[in-house]
Amino acid sequence: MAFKDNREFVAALEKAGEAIQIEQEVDWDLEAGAIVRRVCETGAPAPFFQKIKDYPGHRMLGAMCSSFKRLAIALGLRADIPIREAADEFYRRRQKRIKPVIVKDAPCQQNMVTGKDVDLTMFPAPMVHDGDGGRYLCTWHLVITKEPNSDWVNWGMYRQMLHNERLLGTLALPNSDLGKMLAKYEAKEEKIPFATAIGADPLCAAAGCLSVGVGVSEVEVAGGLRQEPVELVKCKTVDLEVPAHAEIILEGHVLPGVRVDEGPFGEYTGFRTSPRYPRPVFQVECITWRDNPILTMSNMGVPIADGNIIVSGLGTPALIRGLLESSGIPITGVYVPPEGCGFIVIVATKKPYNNIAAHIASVISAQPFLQASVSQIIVVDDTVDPYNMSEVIHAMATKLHPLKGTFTFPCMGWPLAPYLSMAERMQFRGGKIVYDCTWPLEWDPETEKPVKSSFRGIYPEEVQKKVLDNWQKYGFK
Amino acid sequence: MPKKEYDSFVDNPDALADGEIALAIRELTPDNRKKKYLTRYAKCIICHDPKKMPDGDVLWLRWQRGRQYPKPFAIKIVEELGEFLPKQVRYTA
Repeated sequence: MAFKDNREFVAALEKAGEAIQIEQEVDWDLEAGAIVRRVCETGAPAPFFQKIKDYPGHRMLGAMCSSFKRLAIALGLRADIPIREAADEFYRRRQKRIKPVIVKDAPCQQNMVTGKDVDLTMFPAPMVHDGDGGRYLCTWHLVITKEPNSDWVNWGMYRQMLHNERLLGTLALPNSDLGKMLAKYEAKEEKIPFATAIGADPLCAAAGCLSVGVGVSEVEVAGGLRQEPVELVKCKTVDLEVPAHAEIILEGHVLPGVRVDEGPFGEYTGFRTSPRYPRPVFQVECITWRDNPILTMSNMGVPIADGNIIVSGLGTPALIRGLLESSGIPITGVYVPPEGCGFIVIVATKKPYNNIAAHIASVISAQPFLQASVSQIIVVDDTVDPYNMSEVIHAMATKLHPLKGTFTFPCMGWPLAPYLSMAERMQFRGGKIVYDCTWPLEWDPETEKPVKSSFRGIYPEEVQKKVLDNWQKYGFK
Repeated sequence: MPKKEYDSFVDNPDALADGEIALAIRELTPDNRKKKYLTRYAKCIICHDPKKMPDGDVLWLRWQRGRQYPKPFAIKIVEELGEFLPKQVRYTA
């Protein structure tokens, strides 16, 4: 059974020692953010704040998916499951689509304000990092919009900053699903209905982080991840549906042709890269919320935070695995280490032909999100476990020819990539480097190909067996 | 009565000339603490040396990526320009 909401999820995290209730009052102005940041950097349990300064009755939950353990719990898997096994299960579920069901009554609509009564400062939106452009009410949430003249409803996690009591500034890159939708509406000078769901269940939030493709509704992907349908409820003022068990719902319209200053914000790359800049405006016209709402906060910064785990750790590998397998490439594993911010991809493969690294790179580059977001592709052979960084670094050190094994090519760039110049970010210019850490096929196995000098690789089987059988007798434990 | 404090993000604080300028300002010391950091647009008179504008309030400046300029400016708000971005305030990043 999937978790119905974050309340059930945080109870499970607490039971597993992966979350703690904090009774001491904390300040929404930097203190809560600093605590969550330190949690991300130390691996401490997710903080569930019970008392927020200026906001009696409100609670806040941070870093709820900032480790593989917590994401495994969200998926209903055992907390200590190896990453490879969790990735296999995530990949299997990600392929499934389960349509949502509509319910009439929903906890997320227990309270409501509309019109002039809307005041976004009624919630303890945190000032997440010192120097941010404002208070970010939405750092772990779903922005829900509908493609014009289509049934496609998109869920995405686009940060939203308080501009004033009823306006939110949002970063929606023009190559994102939301950015493309906004462009279509703006061309017709039409207001864009939106809903933002804060604090939906953890797998709905995870689905909102993923790149699932144009025309695919994330709510059906969320159903697949949950292995049961998401319950949705119709919004009060716009023609959209939202997760019924979310904590806070914002409804309104994006104003065409209007911009406000948004950012900067400490981003998932560990840097504040994009500047304060004129960005789209979300006008909130209705707010509904649960009694005693729990505001969710992700504190992006130096990895690892929630998004690094979901997007890099499981989401992007599943996307790449699907692309490579459907291209007939005999891969044996894909890993995107969360510490690499989604820029570094490791692919392990059998090597039936030379230059398979170029084939892999071209398949990855053909996917729009990966073309922009991935900058380094490391290809290792099937003797290397891509989840084991010791093996990957050893392969890079020993099998990568610095001249013949590397190549670069230009492609679309990622505006949030810290290594790009400001001009490159603004013009979406970037590139990729490929590291081919595999032996050339033409190397003679006896005279050219080096022999791996490891316990498993260099000793006769009977010696290995003898050593293993006598291991404890030698005095080892 | 204590001075009010504001801040604003600009391309280069060192390049700002004293005088009238349109800025996106955030109020740092509102009466209601919940309103801290909200943004509005205003025509202001600023001065890099607060001693030369003793009746002015305090303006802290930040570069576009959030780092704070070490010395405060003085500011007087001349005219409120509203909640949306006036075209003349557009930045070039």
